[in-house]
Amino acid sequence: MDLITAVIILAVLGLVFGGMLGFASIKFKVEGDPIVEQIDEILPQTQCGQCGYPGCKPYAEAIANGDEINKCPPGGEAGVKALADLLGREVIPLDEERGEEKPPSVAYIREDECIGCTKCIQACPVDAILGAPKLMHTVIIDECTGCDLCVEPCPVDCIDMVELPQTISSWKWQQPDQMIPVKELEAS
Amino acid sequence: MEHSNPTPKSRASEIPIYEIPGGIHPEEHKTRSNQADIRSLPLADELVINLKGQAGNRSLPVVKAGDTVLKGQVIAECDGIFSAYQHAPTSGEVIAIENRTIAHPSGLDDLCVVLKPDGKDQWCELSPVTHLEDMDREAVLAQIFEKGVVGLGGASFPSHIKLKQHEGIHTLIINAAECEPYITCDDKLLQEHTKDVLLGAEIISKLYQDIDIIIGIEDNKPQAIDAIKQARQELGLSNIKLGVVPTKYPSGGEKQLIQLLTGKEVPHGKLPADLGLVMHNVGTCYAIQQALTEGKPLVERLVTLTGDNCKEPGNYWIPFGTPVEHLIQATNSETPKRLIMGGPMMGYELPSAEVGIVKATNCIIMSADGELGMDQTALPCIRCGACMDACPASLLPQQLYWHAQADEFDKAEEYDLFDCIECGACAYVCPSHIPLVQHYRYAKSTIRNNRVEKIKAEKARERYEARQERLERVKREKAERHRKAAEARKKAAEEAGKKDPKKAAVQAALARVKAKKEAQQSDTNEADQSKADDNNSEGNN
Amino acid sequence: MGLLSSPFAKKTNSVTRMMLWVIGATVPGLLVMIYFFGFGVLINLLIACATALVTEAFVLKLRQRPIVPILWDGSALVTAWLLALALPPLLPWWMTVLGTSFAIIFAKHVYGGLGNNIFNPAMVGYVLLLISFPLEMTTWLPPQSLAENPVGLIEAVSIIFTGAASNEATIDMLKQGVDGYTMATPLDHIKTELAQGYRIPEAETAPIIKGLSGAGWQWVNLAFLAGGLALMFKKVIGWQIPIAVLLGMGLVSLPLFFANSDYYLFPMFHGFAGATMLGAFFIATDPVTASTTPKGRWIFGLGIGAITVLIRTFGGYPDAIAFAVLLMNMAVPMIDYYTKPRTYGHADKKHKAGGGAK
Repeated sequence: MDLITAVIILAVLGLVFGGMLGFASIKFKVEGDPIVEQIDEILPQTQCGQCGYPGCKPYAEAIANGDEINKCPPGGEAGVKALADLLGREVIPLDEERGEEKPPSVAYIREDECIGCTKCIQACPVDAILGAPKLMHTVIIDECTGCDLCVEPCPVDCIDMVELPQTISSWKWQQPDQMIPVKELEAS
Repeated sequence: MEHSNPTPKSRASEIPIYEIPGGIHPEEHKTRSNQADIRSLPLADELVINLKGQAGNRSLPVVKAGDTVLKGQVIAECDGIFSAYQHAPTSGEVIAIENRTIAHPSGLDDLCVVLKPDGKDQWCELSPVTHLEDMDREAVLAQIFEKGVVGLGGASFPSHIKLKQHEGIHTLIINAAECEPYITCDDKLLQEHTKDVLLGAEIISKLYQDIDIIIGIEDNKPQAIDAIKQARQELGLSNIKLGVVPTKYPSGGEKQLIQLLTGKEVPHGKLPADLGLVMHNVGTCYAIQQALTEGKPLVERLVTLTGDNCKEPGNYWIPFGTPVEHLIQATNSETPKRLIMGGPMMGYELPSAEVGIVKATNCIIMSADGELGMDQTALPCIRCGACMDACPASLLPQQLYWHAQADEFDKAEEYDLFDCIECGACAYVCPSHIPLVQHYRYAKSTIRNNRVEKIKAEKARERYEARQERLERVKREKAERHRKAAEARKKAAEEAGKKDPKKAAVQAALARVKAKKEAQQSDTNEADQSKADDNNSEGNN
Repeated sequence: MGLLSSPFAKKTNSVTRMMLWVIGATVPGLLVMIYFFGFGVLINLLIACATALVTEAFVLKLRQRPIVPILWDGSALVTAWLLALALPPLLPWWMTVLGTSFAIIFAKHVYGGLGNNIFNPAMVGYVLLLISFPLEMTTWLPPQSLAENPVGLIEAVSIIFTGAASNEATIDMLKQGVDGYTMATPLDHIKTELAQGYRIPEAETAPIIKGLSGAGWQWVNLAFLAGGLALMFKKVIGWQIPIAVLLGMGLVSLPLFFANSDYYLFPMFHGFAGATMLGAFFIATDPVTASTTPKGRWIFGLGIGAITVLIRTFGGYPDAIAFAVLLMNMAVPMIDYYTKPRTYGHADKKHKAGGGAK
């Protein structure tokens, strides 16, 4: 008899709380951006294709469908961490086969060597190269994402990737060394 | 808004003084530099004038290497409204316009005008204003603008911008608090040029139809207070009141001084002007007076040279661009262990002694070994809350630190990171010697950089998507054209077939070639055309 | 090291200095305890300190942290010191070792070391011992002025390390008071008497009850009060928490006392009995585990005071500072979150909701 009472009570409790949870999940549902948008938001929009997808958005879709989050070198460790936070996955080191995290740079066309073939213009994913057939091309550096994709197609190798110099406005304070210096570690 | 109760403590104050939370009482070290009278030093061999010597845009040089200039001649113009004019600090020859290390904590290079003085120190023709009372507001502002006056309290904010808004301003506060240890330049300026400073304040007050003036000054400057009282009487200026505040760092912070003198807080994200207040530094008042009544542009400022290694400490008139190295030599000082520009609480360590003095330089500390208590190993935070008790902005520095060191920037922002004024009171009292301010600066600058990158990424995404769309469209149009060409061909063949089958075959072949050619040409043309359109429309956005 | 940020001026204080001040401020209380309870107090203290330092060094070694600078911060020493002051004078040595090492390892380093623990390590060690060895942990000696056989240094060493007195006097004999009762602390005594149906005025006739609270104990508490006030004056500790603890005690005990003084103790008795002053000035003020917001400090202190009186009055334990401190430690993250001070220039607002939701 006691046993039956206990089972009934538990069953009723289970139903009641289950119902409450179900109700709450519908009633207080949080409307968020679709996950692909949120992932795309984190990706650096270099559109470089180092991840093996034709752009950031396609990679965002791939991640949403379960691809690894460590295939974006321009996003760097910070990007992996942000993705891991968003998706509740483990933070994993960058996939080295995809390249390494490089300081921000832009493409630079050595203009007197340019033959005006438009190949780089067609390669640029963000239309940051200006020029016409048989006329000299140039890079709009403010628009360039430093994706590297224009370097390969150039038949005369006149495109360099130039590291952006640090300026007063881009300079930032370093994080202070955490706690105790290494010296004392060695001493102990 | 919560108002603290006025304290009748400081007897000399002519207005009620309110309290501010937090604050510290560091050793003052002021007597070292405030004993001697204001002096000048011989000119340096070379002046390095930083074109980014003000808040806002870098000034555009209007001279070139080889030009000879007279003292006070314009050497760089404003780039846009948010910038300032720069004038030659002495007469001589421009020997270069190049990147040099500038006075900035980063130690990075930036564009500087390098001037070789000819030793004559010859002024260009000055145009002092003779009938100040006849000038309208715009004319006065223009004069201040053209003379390159910026706020000399530390931020170098162009004064003409600050003075522009005049709706509803009812009080001008002159910041003479000078709460940082070591620095005495405002104190000395008030003692020796009292009348000029007060007249400068009057000029500002007139811009707002004779509003009230409060001089906010710490009670550790009795001589300056007496000098103000005397000068005020002699000049018959009745609208100036003294607000004597207790000596406590950082009472000279703009927001803190406003709270001390009015009991009001500048609301988050607003300006003092929203409370009807405008604040200017003592040095700025003097510069404005000089710009108008003497017609002199801002080419030098009073700088406190001090520190244990400075052998002739005191306050000196230093032309802008004078390398710090020259100041060390000219005062026969020993090589400093640490060279600080600004005060010990908010200044920064100079990366090199080659950098030139800028408009914001109020003090150079040539410190001796062990003078400034640094190099202590940071220990873990024990959450003692000493920082919280010292914070003038009522923040929770321990929480800010906790989140900043873990790179949890959104949490740090939730704890109002950007309301931190970086006064350093928290790091001063920290028993664990944690460089708290650096943690905050790191977090702030990272957040700012991230925002910039976010905007850039957003732009790249838009361009990428626009391009994808265009490629898609071109593909569609191409397919359409091929379909149409094929139809035309078919039609032509059919029509020709009716007449002469042989001729028709030739015609059809010709039409095919022509269509193909056209299609190809229009492909490239249209691709470029549409791309140009895209570029244009984006440029307009 | 890269570029350093301002400020370049530093106040000459340090964690080590704060910790040494805390230790120094307990000395009056320690001396009074030795005077009343014999050298066992001192021996406990030495055992606890040695254990703490060895354990701390060992754990730091395991965690590959620099040993010397962290040992030097004095925090382990303070933990041991405060724990030892809370222990009964003739506790077997291994219990002291167990409690101290547990405090250092589990209450401190498992959380990540100094600054990261949420519970007061000394109190965790104390509570572990209290619930594991309730008898030993509540067996206090009568103050020496009341005892027939005061404990000398040799006896104390002998009892603590071997469990037997050197001159064949048993512990039970040492615990004999003048009236032949086995003696407990005043709080313990009152509790037992009440349980046996006596009323407080009757219970207070025992020789152990004297003056403000009990013979010996009032002086111990006064001595800790003096040390605590010195810390407050030197600004090593904030004044809010100790005052709040005492206030919290008064706010709960006073209405009870007025409601029925036959069964509820006068607030003054609470204030000077047991570990009150030690707790209010030295334990509740542990910076790491206390609340750090201005309002939070008050809530934290009031909570400790109130819970202490409630447990003393209605709970099973005669004293309750340790439980009260741990319970309030648990509440600190929430207190801090909801008592964020209003930042300069911000409107007074209800705390932003959903800040922690993820």
